[in-house]
Amino acid sequence: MSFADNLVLGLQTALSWYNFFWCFAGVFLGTLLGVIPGIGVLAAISMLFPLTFQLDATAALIMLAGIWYGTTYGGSTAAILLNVPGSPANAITSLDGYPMTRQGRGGVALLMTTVASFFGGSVGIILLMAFAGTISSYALRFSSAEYFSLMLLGLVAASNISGGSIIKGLIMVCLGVMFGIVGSDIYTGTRRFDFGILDLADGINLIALAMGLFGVAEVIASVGKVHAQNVDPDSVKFSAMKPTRDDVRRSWFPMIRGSAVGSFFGTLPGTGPSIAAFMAYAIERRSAKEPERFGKGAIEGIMAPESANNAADQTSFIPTLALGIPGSATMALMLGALMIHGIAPGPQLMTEQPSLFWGLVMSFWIGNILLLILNIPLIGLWVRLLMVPYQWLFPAVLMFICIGTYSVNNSAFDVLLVALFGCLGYGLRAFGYPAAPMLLGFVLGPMMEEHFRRAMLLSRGDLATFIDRPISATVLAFTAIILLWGLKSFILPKKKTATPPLA
Amino acid sequence: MKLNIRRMTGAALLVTSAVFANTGLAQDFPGGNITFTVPYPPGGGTDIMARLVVEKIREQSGWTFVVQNQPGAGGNIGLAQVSRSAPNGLNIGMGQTSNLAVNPSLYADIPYDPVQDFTPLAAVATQPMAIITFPGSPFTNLGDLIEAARAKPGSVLYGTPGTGTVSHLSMELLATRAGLKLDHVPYTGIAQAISDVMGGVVDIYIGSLPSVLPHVRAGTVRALAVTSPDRSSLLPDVPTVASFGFDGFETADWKAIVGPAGIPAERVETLNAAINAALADDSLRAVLEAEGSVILGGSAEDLASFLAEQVKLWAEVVEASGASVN
Amino acid sequence: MARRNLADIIAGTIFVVLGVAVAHYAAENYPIGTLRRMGPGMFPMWLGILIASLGGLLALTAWLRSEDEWHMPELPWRTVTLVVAGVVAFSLLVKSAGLIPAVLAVAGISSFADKTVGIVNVTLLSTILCAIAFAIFNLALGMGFKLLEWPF
Repeated sequence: MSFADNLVLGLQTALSWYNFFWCFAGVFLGTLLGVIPGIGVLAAISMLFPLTFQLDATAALIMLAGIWYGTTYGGSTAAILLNVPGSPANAITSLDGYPMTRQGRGGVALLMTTVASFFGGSVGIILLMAFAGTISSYALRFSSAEYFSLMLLGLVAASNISGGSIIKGLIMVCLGVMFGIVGSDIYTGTRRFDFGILDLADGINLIALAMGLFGVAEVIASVGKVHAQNVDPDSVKFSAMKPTRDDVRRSWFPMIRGSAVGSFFGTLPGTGPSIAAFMAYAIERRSAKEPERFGKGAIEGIMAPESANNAADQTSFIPTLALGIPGSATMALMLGALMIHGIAPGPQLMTEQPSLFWGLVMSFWIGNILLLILNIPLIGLWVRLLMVPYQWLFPAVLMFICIGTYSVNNSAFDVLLVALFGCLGYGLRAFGYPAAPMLLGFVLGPMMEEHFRRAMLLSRGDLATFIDRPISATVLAFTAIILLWGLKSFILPKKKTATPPLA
Repeated sequence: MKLNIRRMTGAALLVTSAVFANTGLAQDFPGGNITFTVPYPPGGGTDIMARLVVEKIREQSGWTFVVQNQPGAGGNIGLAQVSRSAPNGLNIGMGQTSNLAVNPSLYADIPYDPVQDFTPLAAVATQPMAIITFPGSPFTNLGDLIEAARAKPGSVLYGTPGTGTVSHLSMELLATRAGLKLDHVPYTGIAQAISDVMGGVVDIYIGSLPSVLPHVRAGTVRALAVTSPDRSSLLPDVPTVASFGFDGFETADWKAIVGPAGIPAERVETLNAAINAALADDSLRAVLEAEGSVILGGSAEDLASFLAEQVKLWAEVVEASGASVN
Repeated sequence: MARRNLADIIAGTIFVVLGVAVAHYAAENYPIGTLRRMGPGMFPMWLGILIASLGGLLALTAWLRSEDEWHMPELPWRTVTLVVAGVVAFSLLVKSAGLIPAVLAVAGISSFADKTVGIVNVTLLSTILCAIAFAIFNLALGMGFKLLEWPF
């Protein structure tokens, strides 16, 4: 079958009323759940997983996928308006999104992130359509040595993600890695730093950490300080959503770079939208002419991560569908939905089930267009949230954080961790330590250890493996360049500021 | 004290239960929602099998189920929760080889006793392990592999879905019986592992048949052997491990439905009958068999003696392999 | 003296102590292994050493560099206590007593973090939030949370 035949088949499948309805249901639910802090996409999909028994395989997959990318659209809303990220993948968006809200530009931020999400999603789908069949060989070249180098690049590039002192940023990264170590060591099963608590056997829950550090800490910092009156009623009008010419001009390249970064990380098993968003932000900040604008409402700081996480959402289907390799727990869940219907997910899925594969891919277009149409009118509604007095809003936010975190593993212990990380997060913030690098360290650290140790096992203890393997060597060289570049800009401006008093 | 009495009554009822064998389905039994605990996250093998079986029972009997995923500590947290719940037949869950038979020997602090703290209800299905390699591998069969490993101890790297998994211990059992030294490379699941096998980074990989079957079928990897006593009907060309001179070699990842200790015998009967009825359904069998599972079923007593056997077997394997945790 | 950044010196010292503690605990309790077959203790040990070094660097640079005078930030103890108490109460109640008492607890307790609220408003808000939680999680998502349960 030719490419065009496949497209027609896919469109026919995706546009049938039945599938269209479930696509709509998926993206609608996804975007609403994304807005609610604490309900991660995995929890959302798990909740609706039993529904797949009642649907046929294509509709089930279309719906679950709709929730998956729908939550990423919605996830930026609370991050921008309340400084409470809807999910860990959106934590980085709050760095510049929330300052925009404080400047009365919350509507602009929401509109632009919706556009960025759509742009990123579109790039991801195009890549999925064009390369799903051929991309397999490239993903196979990534083994543990390559992953380790990539993680190292990530940490180096992101060490300065929140501005301020580099040493403080690095300490926060290390503390994040430390929290990531808690739990069973995957190589020996030894439980590390669990202090005899069985609930810590699988480590600290990412949602609990993120919701504590960002959600609860934000609530503590804002109670009694944020007042609804601060919101200018004009800023919720539809016309206030209109971006300036400058906004649009500044958004193009971050969106393109973000989509590229997101597409890349999406295809690698194990990495996903969160890492993609962090990396996109870090790259934007590194390459900016005025990095000092970041963290104060720079539009680039929301466009890059939001296009990246949506692109990653779409391209993560490439290894899942083309190779039968699920890159994340959520993707494994999608394959699970297929198995329930007796379809073996695997490399032959594309050829054996063309209507399912192409129907799903084409439903991504429909879903993304629906999300664009759905989200723009909703912006006006969400911005109105700011007019609700904060004393009414924050107990609701806390409730959603509690229920959302609890629902991930049905674990009351995880909610206790939220309280603990809330205190820690507030303390760090009060003393000027950034929380975002800690989250990144928490996500990347355990992967770094896993891949370093596996690379050592595979190479039988030979460190040269990182240089012998070409992709790994290239990535390491790149890391070294960034490190040197960072040091250079760290030293040079100091000389400049040091000279004037002498002159 | 109270607990002991409950346990004794439970045991007494179990003894007398043989008298009431084959009483058939009592449709009026539940009197409430049956909470079915899956000790793993949604979407995994155990979860899908549990949901398929539960869905079929629901369809056939009209009972209402609440499937609750309680992941954590390799399934230990969820099963501990089942063992602590009220023994009225309304709280049941799905355990498997790891948490009912392997972990008790592997972990020092497991919060339940797999034989004492549960009422076995029925075995569900079993899946053999399969050893796979990349298409261009020098190993054309398991014999080659064993020879190579003998000639140069430690030269063969084998991947598994994790430390202490049935796959890992199966390979250790094989190594012990063949007197080999193999190097273990644990992965955190199938994704990265299958990619490393396909790329030839790791020599072989051992995982449950359903997890590797699609890749074997697509020809991206080659199966060397299966750990079941007989060849799998899905891979008739792949020999068993036992056929390479390891008589009686058999390991499997089985799944079984259990409840807390002390469920009244007539309720055990009802639940067992319902599970067996669901497992007899053609459409359910077709789905499970297509992915590489073998349906078990059988009486609750069968499962009880099977469990006791398995706990003993894995204790020996764990001891012989020297694998231990904590 | 007072012009030195005391906060960074103290924080740096804390990180040194923490790093040494982590490295020591890892080395004492977990096998270190070899580079080829790393034990569970190697990575945390080096991480601890890294944290300690960075902490030392932080303290040292703060010692050498005089900066603007620094004041201890005023911590809002009332807010911290009530918000944390609310979340902890939710955690303790949700499994044993059910969703409704847990939501009432988190909303009811944390609301008082704002000094201006009255008991009537808090009661009203908590009740509304219970209804919202029930509608979203039990009705719309069918999560089957237990609403109310007597632990006794």
